[in-house]
Amino acid sequence: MQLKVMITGKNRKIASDISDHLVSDRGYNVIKCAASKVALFESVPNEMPHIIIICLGDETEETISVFDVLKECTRMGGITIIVIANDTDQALFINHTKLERMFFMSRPVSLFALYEKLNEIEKQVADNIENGSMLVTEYINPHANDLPPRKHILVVDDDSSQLMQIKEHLKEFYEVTLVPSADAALKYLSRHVVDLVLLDYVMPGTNGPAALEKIRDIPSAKDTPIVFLTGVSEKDTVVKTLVELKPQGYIVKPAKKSELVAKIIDILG
Amino acid sequence: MDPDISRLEEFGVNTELGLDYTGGHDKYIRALRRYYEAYEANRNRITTAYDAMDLEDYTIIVHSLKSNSRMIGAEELSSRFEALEMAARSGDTATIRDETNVVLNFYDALIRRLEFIGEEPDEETADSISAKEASEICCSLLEALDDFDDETSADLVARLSGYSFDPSTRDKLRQAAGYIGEFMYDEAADIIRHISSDIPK
Repeated sequence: MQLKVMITGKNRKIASDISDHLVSDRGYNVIKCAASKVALFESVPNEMPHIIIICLGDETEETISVFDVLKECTRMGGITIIVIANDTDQALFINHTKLERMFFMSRPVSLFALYEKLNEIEKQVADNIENGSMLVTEYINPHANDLPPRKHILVVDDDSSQLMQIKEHLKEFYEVTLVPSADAALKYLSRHVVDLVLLDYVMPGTNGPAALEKIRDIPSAKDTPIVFLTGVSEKDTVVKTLVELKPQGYIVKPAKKSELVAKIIDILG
Repeated sequence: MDPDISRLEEFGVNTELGLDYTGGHDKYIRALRRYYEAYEANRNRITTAYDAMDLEDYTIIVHSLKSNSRMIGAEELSSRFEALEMAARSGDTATIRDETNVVLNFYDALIRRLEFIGEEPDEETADSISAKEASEICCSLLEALDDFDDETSADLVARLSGYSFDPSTRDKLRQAAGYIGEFMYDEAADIIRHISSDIPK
């Protein structure tokens, strides 16, 4: 059975060696992915590998944190993560990422041990096919009851096409509420707490900057992160308001899924 | 049958960009359909604002079309809408007068190319429901609309169509569904309140 394996991580030498072995010895379909939030976020849902092998190398807290994007991707289930790391990087990975289930292998890598693990996974995947069950395995999570609810994003835009497109991008990972105006947003926020607001800059009636100030007046929303949605032509205007209004940033419309989610992950984690 | 988007490329639409922005083939088709279905209302809005020289409304609609055109890969048209937006923001009515019809012709031409996208497949017919169930659904629907819950609202309005309304009420219900699709919750709620009062208790 041909497993699909994604290989990522700063340690390119190990990544390259393993990749070559998996292709020549096991005939696997191996995809290489850069170790960046945007690359991982775009590639994993598109490729849906069975396994992600992360080859760590002299990491820092900042470089390790890119792998947090896999937490949301692997919520879909069925992806096994194997991390190849020395003791220092392993400790950093455990302490500074939010992934909940992974297998560690120390360096130098034992191909024998790796292949044994891969055999186990192959059998699991093959059993699922034979039994007619869906080609995803249950994601064993010892902290299942502690899982926080999905983050809630409020999107405010007078353009229904943009609202629909943004929801299409985000609904896989977040609870999303859509409102067509600042007034609707204020009404919603007076009753609900959200984790982040995506706020269109140019709107009829109360525009984005005015809406931001009113949102800040709502006690339960005063600290809620707000990100402006702006067209490319008013980007410079928005940048000037960053200092005065202090939103948590801006996104240029139309926004690609990876850009949107990477921005949200940057703010919410 | 799956629409053939390569036809758009002959017209200069960057379908690869559109696929990138929207996130895949099916999503791109949905975005094209939305763009196509919004054409009449958008065009009317531009001409109304132009005729009245209402620069504020004009700016808002061309601003929106700039982004939406870009989203489907219509880069040239997006740039043209952007130029109109810049003109409107700076009060350059001469450019607006000279260029609006040119841009609208371009917009019209793109929409003609989108006719092959076809209509959204018809919704399945809802299960038939009683007056009591229809009343209950109306209450739940008003709550969902009050809560800006577009998905629940869309489901409930679809279920409500299973009641044997007369043709004019059925039209109003379709209008409410349209409002929900445009996230116009208050407008939809007004219609549902009206419909609800007509359901025998």
